[in-house]
Amino acid sequence: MPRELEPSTSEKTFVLEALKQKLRIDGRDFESFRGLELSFGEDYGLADVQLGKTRVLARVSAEVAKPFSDRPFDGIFQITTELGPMASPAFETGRQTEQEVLLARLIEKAIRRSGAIDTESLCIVAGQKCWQVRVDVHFLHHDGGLVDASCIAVVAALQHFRRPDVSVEGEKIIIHTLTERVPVPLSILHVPICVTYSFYHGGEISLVDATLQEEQLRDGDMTITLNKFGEVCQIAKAGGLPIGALALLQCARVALVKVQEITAFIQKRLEEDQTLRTRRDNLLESTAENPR
Amino acid sequence: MSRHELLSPEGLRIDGRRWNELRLFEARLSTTTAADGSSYVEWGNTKIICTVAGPVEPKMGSNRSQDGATVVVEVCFAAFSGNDRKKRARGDKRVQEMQTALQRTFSEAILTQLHPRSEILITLHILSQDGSVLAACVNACTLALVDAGVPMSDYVVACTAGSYFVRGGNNPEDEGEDPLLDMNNLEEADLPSVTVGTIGGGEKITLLQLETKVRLEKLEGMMAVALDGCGKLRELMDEIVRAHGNEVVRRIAL
Amino acid sequence: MTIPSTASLGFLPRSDGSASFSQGRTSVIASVNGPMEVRIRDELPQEAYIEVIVRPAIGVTGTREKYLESRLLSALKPIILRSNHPRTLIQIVVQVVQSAGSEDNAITTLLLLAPSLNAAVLALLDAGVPLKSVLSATTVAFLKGSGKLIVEPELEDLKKAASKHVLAFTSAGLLGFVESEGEFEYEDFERVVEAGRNVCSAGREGDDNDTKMDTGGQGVGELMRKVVREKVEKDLRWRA
Repeated sequence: MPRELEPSTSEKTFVLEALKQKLRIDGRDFESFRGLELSFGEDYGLADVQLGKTRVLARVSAEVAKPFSDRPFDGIFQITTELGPMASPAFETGRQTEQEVLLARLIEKAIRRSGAIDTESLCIVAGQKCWQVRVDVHFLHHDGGLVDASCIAVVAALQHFRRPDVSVEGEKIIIHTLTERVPVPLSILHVPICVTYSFYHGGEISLVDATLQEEQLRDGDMTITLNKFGEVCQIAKAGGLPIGALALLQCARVALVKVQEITAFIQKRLEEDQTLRTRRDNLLESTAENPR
Repeated sequence: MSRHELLSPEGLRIDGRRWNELRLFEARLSTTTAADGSSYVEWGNTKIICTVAGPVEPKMGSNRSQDGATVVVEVCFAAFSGNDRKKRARGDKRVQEMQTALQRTFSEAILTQLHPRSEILITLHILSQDGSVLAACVNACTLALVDAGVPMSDYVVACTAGSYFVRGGNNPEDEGEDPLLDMNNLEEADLPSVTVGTIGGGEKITLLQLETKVRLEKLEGMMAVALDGCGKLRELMDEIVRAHGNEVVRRIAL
Repeated sequence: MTIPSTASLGFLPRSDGSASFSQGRTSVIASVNGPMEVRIRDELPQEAYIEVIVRPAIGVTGTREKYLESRLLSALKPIILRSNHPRTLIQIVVQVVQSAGSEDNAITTLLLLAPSLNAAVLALLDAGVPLKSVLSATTVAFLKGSGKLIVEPELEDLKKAASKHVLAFTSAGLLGFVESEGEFEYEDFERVVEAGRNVCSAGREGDDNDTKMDTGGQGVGELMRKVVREKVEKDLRWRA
């Protein structure tokens, strides 16, 4: 597969000089995210996120499984992020590149390790049956900001998802279909959002949400994950340009503001989708047509 | 282990340290004579062997870069290093992440442009884990690179810090958060901790890793304590290097 | 009951060609990259190497996806003018966004085949890959008891059907691809082919009494032509 095309020397000089003059190629200021679009699918748990040109799909599904033997009271929660050739011809199927591993670890630390989902609520019968919640992230288009976009997609899809209701009668477990009983939302403890910073010119310039071109030209990067309550869920600055501690703390404070904005945006979209659904469901129920 | 024992009311931690005290840091250089450079670090109960080979001809063509040397890091956790015997699978994501973090950190510190089209191979063996593993790896790498004579801009030093939440109990004034320097295994399991790596002992941070939830206000305190710890460690490491250097000179002179 | 279909072209900026095709609750996105650089071991001296990758909505790729990949490859390989671009790679990726039904079995897999093929063909057109002909695909279910044929059936109809068929026709009405499953007589198969041809070929009226088609929407062939026509008009709007 072809490698990712490096920016030409002219492009590199232009972008870096523009940054010195406080200008970004797409005209944003240094602390703005690109335009964020969020839409949901017909099925519960399907979220489609567009961050600028980057497009990511997240799909949540649940099935009944046996819990791990060392954790009988917890359900199972997995997130898979596989970079495919659709996002960029530079990604190959089957082989795990360094970028893919880092991305998977970041999403896992941000969402799974920080306890976004209450796994104890996924238990049905301790030690025997539990819910296995799976999130599959599909990358449709890569224009930078994969971590940020996939985090938003996953948390939006998790909040959107409804699992079938379950009733336990002694030894028997009855899983109700979606039409029998109203499906149950997952127990979300907090909503983590990732913000990735990119550093240039020896650390003097820091940007939020870099496009692919800006990512290729950066000297260092840091991903910080916060929720709207001001809790830092994880920070990952894996080497790269050394940056002053005060500057990093300032980045964290700015990130908190962004996280609150994005969390509010996701909430608004979820509410809009909910009203759309109830309207549609009510319409369906009140139709007088005979089934064919 | 219940939480309140991690920091007693008198201000003593489980191992008897105060909040701003480092564990005993001991290191030896040139422990593996076959390698170009090597070190053995014992930081509290965390024990790490590091060997450096390079700059050498790269084995894989993809590692040959015109601009400078390629740094390759391999980390190996011994199966007996943790509380339970656990053999790590190859390609474990956590290990790969550590390798990438170390590789990027040292690519920044090493003067790679002096050795283009070559490879510097760093191998770490973790014999015993007792907290601050990543920080100890960074320190071990620095010492081994110094021993190998690989040109670096300055020491890369890393340290951890955590945050201990004191519950008020009867007296709400007692409630607060104390930053703790240099976490061991038991403290890391219960408390949020951050790993900070600096180049040159100043305020410039090259490696920053936080994996547990902590409030943003507490982060500043933790980072300040960790940076202070890095400064102290840098002095310790410098002393060790100079002592080793003097010993080498003395042996040659004999 | 026939379910309505929708399609759209060219929404992924980085891929050479992209398309989406939705039929009821089945929705897939296809992207095409190529002709582009090929791995040395796949290089063919006289023609382009065609690679098809199918990614499921839920879970990791398994035998279902490999099956779909092999079927799509056998349908697409003959229609692409491979000798125009020797020693290159044409990569087709199909991402399943939503799949009818929640179980993973042979029936839901079969329901994915026609939309995937349509999406792939549209993406190839969007990418400008030279093609010998354009295929449009449809699914037909044959119910033994009543002898009725249902074109583009819903999941429930497909479960009750004695035999299920996926057919793809060129715009001239020639049969390019068939995948059948179940028990059927040859005469029934001929009727199935005729029903499929009516839907897939553009501009032909369905005059078969046996076909049950809710002509709420147009046939697949007509839909694909319309989508491509709209895109070409948009691209050439600068022409007076």
